[in-house]
Amino acid sequence: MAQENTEKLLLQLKDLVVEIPTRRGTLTPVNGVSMDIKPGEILGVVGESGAGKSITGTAVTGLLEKPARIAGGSVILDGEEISKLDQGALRKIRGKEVGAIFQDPLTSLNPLMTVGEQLAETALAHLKISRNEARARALQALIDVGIPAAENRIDGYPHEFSGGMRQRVVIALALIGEPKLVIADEPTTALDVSVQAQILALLRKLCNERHTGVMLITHDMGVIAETTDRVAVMYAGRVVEIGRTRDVLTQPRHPYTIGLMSATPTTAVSTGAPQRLNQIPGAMPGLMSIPDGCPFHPRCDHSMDRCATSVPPLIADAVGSVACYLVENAKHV
Amino acid sequence: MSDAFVQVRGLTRHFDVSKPLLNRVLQMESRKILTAVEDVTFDIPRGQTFALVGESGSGKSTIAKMLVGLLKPSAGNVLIDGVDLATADVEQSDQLRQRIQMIFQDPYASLNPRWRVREIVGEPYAAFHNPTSAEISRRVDELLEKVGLPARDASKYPHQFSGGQRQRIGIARALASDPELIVCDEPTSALDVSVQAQVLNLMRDLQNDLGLTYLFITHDLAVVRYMADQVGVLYLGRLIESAPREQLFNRPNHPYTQMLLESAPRLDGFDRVHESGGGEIPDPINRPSGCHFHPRCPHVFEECKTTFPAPKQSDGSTFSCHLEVESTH
Repeated sequence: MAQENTEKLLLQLKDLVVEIPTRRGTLTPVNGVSMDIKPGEILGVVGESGAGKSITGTAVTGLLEKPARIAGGSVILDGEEISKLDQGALRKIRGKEVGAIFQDPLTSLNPLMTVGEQLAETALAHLKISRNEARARALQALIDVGIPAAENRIDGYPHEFSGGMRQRVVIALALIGEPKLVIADEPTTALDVSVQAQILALLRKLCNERHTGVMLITHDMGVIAETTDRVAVMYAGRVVEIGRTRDVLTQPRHPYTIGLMSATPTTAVSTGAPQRLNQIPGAMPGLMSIPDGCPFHPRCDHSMDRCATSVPPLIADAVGSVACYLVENAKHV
Repeated sequence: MSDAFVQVRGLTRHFDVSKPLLNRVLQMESRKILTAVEDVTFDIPRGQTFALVGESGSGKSTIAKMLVGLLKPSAGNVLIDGVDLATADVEQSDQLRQRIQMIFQDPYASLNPRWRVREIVGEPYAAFHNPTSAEISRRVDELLEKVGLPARDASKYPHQFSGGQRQRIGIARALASDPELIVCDEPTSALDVSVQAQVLNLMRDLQNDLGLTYLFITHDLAVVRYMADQVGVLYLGRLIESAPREQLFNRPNHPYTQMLLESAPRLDGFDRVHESGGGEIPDPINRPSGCHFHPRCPHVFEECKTTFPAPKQSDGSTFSCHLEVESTH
């Protein structure tokens, strides 16, 4: 049974630890993160700056920059442990097995190559096809992401495209190697709202059709609500809550998730003046000063003695998983 | 109507973005004029918040700069308490400047890294009142307390603070000259959600305590809903709709406002399928003719392509669209 379960998982992170050694001590931006993604599923990773979302994503793509390194745990992609592979082996996986979409579409494209050349180059690197075929695939990829008059625009350079169109090209680039998993790190943060809606709908449609798993990293709860199937909430390098998006957002259980939801202004239809936003006191701790015990305890209204000394484990139940002693206590009563 | 604290009338601003003369002659190009803001008119009553929303290139920040006098309008004017900054004499404009302050978007770039908080927050006070250093210290302590920072922070430098704390310092600086109008240009878009809530609440409390008037500029509709009394929607430099908050969110009149509200992600929008239109904001140098929104508008007809619609009124909302009110809903 357990065996069968792991086989269905596309990506599995188990107690992933990323460390950055510095002269003033070792920093741990990701500290024991576990999460998984099934084929065709969109997992949201949400948190404020410094939560470790992007570094988690980067660890999966194998693009961690030195001196940051995976210091523990494992990254299992389609049943294969990839955290211990060398750069050469990772290079083969990247693009072919894992595609990446970053925040800024301009810096993720090569300004000196036409869009078609970049797409064809990626296709040639990962698929056993001819040059002509690669060009045909590049064209098809542009059509798939909804670029109008793709046959004319394929020979254009990135600067000739608008922001939204560039991000479509980046998506085409991430998908042309037919990856099983896409890591999308704040893919719409640099875009205007009307374009953001188009890009997210596109990402969802393509991944649905191709059964691609997606890790969508964002700080925007609205984007999480509308785009993802499940969501992992991160705080100071740890996952504090994970579950079905609807459950986590409508009935958050970790005090941080509860605080985050009630601190988020909404456009939902209401009458009269909006209710005062709840505010969480303080700010996310810096990497040099992550507190002992539960990293959220200094900002938590329900903090107990125990929270200051030991880290609550992420415990799963029928609804989802939460790392909080309050939730654990409630169950024992 | 005409006794509003801030009155903006037909405000227009062009920027010359042409290449240098020699290039123009050699490449046989004509001058290029970017119209950042065109014929924008609105009022802000004393003690209220007017929010300007729009996507990039809509002219939000240009309007903010003209309001505080950092840019001169090409046409039209801004009256603050009946005084026009552009035509006021030196004495009048000096007096007026004390009453207008600004809070900026980036709390990292808007504070001088070599100055201590005491100097940053005390500068506007010192500039207008010629106080002794003891008076400045007292004033700075008072201001820091007002924005929720301990008085001992006055001797620290900006890099010793987090983003949210820096934005508080920016707010304390804005309050230093006892202003009546504060222009806030995306004050929380660089902040995390939990910190944004702290700053927005602080700004609301200060408004209640001090009777401040805000011009609040943002692209985030949820923030607008939380802060604004009146909302103006900009598209390519034109104010296409202006309405009281609830009116705008519950019954938007202009097709662009409708599209904007439809595209904004919602916290309860599980499995929502967006029906928002396609397209992107066109190049502001070559704006589409007529109503600038017509190439993206689902209701477009001939007239839209040729003439910009005159503003219409409907239940307190003013909007510029050729469509009849009923058919837009």
